[in-house]
Amino acid sequence: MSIDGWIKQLVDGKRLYLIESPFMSDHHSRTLLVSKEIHDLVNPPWPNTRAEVRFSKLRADLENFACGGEMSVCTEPFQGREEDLAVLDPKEDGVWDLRSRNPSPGLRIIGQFADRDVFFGAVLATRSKPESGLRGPLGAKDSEQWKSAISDCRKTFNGLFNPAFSAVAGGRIEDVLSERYH
Amino acid sequence: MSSVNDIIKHELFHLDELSRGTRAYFQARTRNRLYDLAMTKFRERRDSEGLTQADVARRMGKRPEVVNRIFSGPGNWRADTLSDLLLAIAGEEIDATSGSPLMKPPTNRRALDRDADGRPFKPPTQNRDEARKGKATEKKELDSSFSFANA
Repeated sequence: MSIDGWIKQLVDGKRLYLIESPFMSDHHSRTLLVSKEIHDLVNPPWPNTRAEVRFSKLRADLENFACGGEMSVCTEPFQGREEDLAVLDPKEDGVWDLRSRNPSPGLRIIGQFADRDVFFGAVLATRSKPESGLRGPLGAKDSEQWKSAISDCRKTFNGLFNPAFSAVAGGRIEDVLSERYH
Repeated sequence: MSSVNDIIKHELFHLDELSRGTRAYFQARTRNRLYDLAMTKFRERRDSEGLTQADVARRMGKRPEVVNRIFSGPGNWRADTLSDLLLAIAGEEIDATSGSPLMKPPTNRRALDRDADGRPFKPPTQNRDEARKGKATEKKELDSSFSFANA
């Protein structure tokens, strides 16, 4: 079975959720899949207007990724601060975090690429500030929170894609995105 | 429950009071588009003329680390930032235009060509006045399923 067929099966079975723009005019050049947890966060109802604003912006950022928006990328673990996408340690495992920094709290979506331009976001956490109802903060680079988030991401990915497909390993940007990155 | 897609489309189509979520969504969308515009220009000039971030920093009169942060994302951009950036990258200014995303011609869709209820979404063909006339009836029908604006 092709990766597209596999994904369709998972989406149809509601084990994965596609993030797409609501507008037919938007061209989708990447596939962004998320866990139910993340899907529920970017869809109503929200508990308050603060959550409504934060997760509406997160949704726009995720759609931007799916629609081939320009990504600033850091391919060295612990070196990225402002980038949209950064590889996590150890680089060889191919675990990445996709970031939505504005407004506070900054959010990280930890996931892996099932194929080039096909990202599965498994875990969402705040980077620095605690937030009621959300995982995190991830804290310092070697924190238990980071380790646990990465471990959960890998377990979730493997549960959905293995043994048919493995995550793209190696941490090289050209292996995971085909265009529009720097 | 309406999906966020339905809600955004509904608010945009009927030009009713916009919820904070819809406004936030389009603020981020606009910011991402402006970032795309500047980075595309930079990529073009880099590939054709060998332009570097250091060149852009020099032209903008800013330290390289400041420009590096600007290039990393549009989080703190203001209109002035974009103006300076386009000027430094390509000697260009913004040629602004706007349009409803509901009215633009469709492009490809990867998988979900349907709304939350499984119906294919068709861009509306009504103009703004017609939309306002039809608003009262359709709003009544949809109000019962709204949770976004009142959350």
